[in-house]
Amino acid sequence: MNTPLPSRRDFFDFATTGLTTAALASLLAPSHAASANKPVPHFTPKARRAIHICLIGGFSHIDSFDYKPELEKFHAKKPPPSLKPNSFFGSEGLLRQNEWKFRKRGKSGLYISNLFPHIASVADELTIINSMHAESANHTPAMFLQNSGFQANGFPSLGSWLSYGLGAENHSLPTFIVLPDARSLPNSGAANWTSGFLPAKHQGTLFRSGPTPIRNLFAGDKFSPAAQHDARALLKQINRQHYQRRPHDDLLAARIHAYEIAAKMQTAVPEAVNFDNESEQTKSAYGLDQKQTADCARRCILARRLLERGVRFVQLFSGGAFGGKPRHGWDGHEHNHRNHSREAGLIDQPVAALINDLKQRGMLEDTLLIITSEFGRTPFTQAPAGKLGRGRDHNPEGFTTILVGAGLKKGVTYGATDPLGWKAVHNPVSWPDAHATILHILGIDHEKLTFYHNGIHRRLTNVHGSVIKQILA
Amino acid sequence: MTQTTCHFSLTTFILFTFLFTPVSSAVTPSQAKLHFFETKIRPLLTKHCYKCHAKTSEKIKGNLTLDTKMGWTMGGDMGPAIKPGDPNRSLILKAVSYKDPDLQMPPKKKLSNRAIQLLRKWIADGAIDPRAGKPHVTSNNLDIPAAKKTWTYTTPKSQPLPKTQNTNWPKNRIDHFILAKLESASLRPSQPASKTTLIRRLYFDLIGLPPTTQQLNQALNDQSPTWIQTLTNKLLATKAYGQRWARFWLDLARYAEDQAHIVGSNSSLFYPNAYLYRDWVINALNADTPYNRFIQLQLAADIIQPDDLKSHVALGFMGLGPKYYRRNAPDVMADEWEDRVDTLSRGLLGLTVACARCHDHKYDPISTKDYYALAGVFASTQMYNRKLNAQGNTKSPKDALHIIREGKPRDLNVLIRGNVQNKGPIVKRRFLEVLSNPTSKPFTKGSGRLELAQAITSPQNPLTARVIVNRIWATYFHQGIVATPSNFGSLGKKPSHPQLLDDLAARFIKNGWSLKWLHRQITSSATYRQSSTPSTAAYTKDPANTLLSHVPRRRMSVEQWRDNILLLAGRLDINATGKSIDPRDPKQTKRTVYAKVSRLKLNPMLVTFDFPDPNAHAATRVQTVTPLQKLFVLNSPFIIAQARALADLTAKQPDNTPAKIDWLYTRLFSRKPTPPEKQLATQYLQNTSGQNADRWLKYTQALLASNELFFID
Repeated sequence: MNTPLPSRRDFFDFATTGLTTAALASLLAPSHAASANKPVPHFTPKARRAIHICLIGGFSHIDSFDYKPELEKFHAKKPPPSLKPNSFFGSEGLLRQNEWKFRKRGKSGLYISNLFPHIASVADELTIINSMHAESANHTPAMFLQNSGFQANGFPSLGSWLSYGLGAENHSLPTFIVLPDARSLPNSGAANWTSGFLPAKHQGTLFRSGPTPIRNLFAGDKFSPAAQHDARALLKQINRQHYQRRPHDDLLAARIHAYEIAAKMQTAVPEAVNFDNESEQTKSAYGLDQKQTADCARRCILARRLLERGVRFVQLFSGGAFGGKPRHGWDGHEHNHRNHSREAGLIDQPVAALINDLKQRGMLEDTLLIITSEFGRTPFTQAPAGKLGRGRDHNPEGFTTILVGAGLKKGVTYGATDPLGWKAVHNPVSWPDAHATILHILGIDHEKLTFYHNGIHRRLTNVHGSVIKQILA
Repeated sequence: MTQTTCHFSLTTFILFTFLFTPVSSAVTPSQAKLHFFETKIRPLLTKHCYKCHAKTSEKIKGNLTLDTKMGWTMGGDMGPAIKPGDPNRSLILKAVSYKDPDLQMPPKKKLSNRAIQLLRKWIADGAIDPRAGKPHVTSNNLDIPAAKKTWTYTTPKSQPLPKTQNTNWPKNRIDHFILAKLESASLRPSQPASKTTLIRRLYFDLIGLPPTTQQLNQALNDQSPTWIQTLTNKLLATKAYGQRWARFWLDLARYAEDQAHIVGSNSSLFYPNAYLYRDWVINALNADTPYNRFIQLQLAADIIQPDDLKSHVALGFMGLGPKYYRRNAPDVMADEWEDRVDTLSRGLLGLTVACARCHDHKYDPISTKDYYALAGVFASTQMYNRKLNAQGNTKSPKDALHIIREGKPRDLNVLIRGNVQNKGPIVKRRFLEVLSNPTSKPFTKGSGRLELAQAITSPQNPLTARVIVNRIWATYFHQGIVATPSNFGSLGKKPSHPQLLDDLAARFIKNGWSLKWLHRQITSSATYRQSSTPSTAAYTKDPANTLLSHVPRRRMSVEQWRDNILLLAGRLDINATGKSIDPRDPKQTKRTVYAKVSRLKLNPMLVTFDFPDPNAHAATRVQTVTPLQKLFVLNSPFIIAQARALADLTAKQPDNTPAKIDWLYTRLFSRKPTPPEKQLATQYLQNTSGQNADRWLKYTQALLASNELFFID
């Protein structure tokens, strides 16, 4: 074969709309390696990769990371008129105090409740934003806001923007991988990790549990690896003969290359999901050996392994579809204590172990861990007026996001809700602000990461967003 | 929070409000008032406002500048910032008071009470401001008369044929325009493609399927000089033509059969009969429904022919559009209008009108008034479930068509910066000003949908015909004459052959808006007959092939590819129509145009092969080459089933390996294998390490997976 096969890292993931193959080739020539089509970090990144843990349903900030002693005083009292609640179900009962004891943790003295005893043990690693607010009290649009910055569907998710902006480090694995809760997928499924109008290769790839997490990784037929190998070699020869008769067509070469990458993926993916070389100590630290924590532990270990192998962004979901009994997720409408006890029990140990593990391996130096929920929960109970219920309703006015890792001040809180934990009043942080900050830590100026679509240079942060400089180290 | 969806620019605009702002009286400011400004107000503005509201700002927010008197007099997106002498009606005081949760300035921290008092006093005393100079502005894009003189907004006319040196090459008018540009770049057209290649190209382009060996031979045997016209007519007369080209339209119409948000088991947002709209499109194309009528029916069939209930299925164009969460809330409805305006304006007119939802378009002569004048039409229109074959609505989606009907006619307020709380003047429903003429009137009949459809399909409309001609052209040549087919505005690409596009568009209208006429024009040109191999000169001088010195080699769409594979495996049922299928299902024999299109969960096979997200209008399909596509081609149950079927067919051929290889190559690629190909195959098939039948299976699969099977030469 006369023409060498391409080896440039983003050769084959190039979107080629409107480009002929020849134009593509010129764009891909080494002298144009940093062509404007491929955004690169705008400044030295603090983190090169990230894990995003999404707690679906709205986890209660006032029962976990946002300590409100005032709420204890007002327990079983009427919400003051100044609260002006507009809850999702419109039934605003009496105030309920935090349901788990808070105390100061670690050297930083952050207040964290007993809901998350394991995560509390790594308090000194956490950067807690207690002044998040969202524009929707409905799960689906609020989830879209959290993941894409827009309430409507069809906009690229955070992970897709990062895949687009940072590219892949390892082409044998997808850049953006999604690890759903074993119980169910989130509502609207893939719309949460869609690449929207970005090229399809930037969408999240769903990893199912089991040894072959990617669809069609292997053929479900009887052929031996040797036979598969022979067949691939045959295909390669057929394609090369075709290509030799059509010089100048680099897309054809790219496609031959993509087959080779696919073959590598067949090795890389099973290797990544195989925990045989993880120590028993590690597995047990994550809780892989306990029924309750096994699913989250598996995914936390896998997330770390994927990052180690060059994946940019791994998104874990805690919780799945809304509705159902018991609920899959943090949507504690009926009995918040029971609901949150169960959900926290599933993730507390694995997530804390992940933080410890990343730190011990030195990965926290260049990894960002993000823990979010689409909104928080109300300080008043979901009950008829004057009654003290057991559930809490959605609260988009004030809630908590936690960042861990690279480029951050550790063991600090930022912003605050009012004394009852209802509304973000001090240094409020919107989703675009949070997204801008996350991109910043990953070396990206949120106003410069754009994609031209429908006549607009689209951004993750639309026309909003300010980096929260105060939490940066 | 405003629902802004477009970017604000680094520069400001002269807003129309300027024209109505009273000119302040020419009083010489007293020294004391000037002193007050210089010592108290200027430092305050500099410190707290200039970061975002001055010429020196990295980015001017809200198009408002406060570093000149004229800046605050003209104001930004929300109007004048200060009313001298009237602090209570001055926006700036409203903003600094922090009383309105949506308008709080400076955004990070409220000013001290003392600073607010100083501002109040300054404004009450007449807002004396010595800072002369014009605010930082760009040119006014809303100069409609000037815009009307530009190519984009001029009605296309048939053009004189340009002179060319080579007078033998052109076969029809298209070729004169193409050749003239090639010659001026000292390039020559490529040699014609071989007849077999051309026959395959015509089949894939016109009906999305390859010729069978018999069809190929039949066409090869036609020695008449007009064989291409004969074959084109034959293919245009098949039902397969509409099935191929309907998908092209459905991408533009963001056709889908459900909504992206569905709660629990609620099925009210699934449209099991959406396929009837798809069938309507297929049939309309097959009947060569004139394109103007095609549009009119999709926008207003219920008004044009109220008694022909069957035809109202065409209204699925808007009726199957996205619905968002919390419908009927004002901000959500405003989002839905944006979808309708966007699909209509980019899809049919090649204009990004939705950009003008929050502010006048920054690059094109489209105002927010234009946007709300169109949005009003959709605000006056309802989506509903009509009974399948009768008037009246029904609750059950499975017995219903989801279409549109007239609602209560209403004109909308301009929503300043897209904020539903911030209402500007009411605008009457009407067509875009830049596409209207002095006699154009606001819409008065019901919602105005029919009048809108008529304005879009007026022969005087400069864009409609060009946009559809350009889209069809782009399907043949991989890029349009305007390379941004949904944006003919100033941010779009300039046309490579404007006279050609005008000539085609004008004649398209003259020929009754016939799409089949357009296909015939293209396929009978010498341009279309060229080989897909560029000359070295072309490769060097025009690597993007803008001048069309050859026909680009094209990757098949997922529809062409899957249909091709099914046909070769002997498993395609070209007569099957109707309801939607899962295209991955190995047993499924319907064409891919019938694949179910879901906004909620788009079929993974479609996603993998670059099918566009049906949540919005798709101008073009992006093409990616990814390992996940290869895994599908190597390992999916779909491909293995087809390979097995093809291997079974091969087994039925005479028991002679070389003859079987010949048969396969003829069937798959319309040609005989080359000696190296034959040698490779023979070697592979003779290798006895595996079962012979397994070898044939793997061999047929490799052929189905090959690049040659993905590309049209």
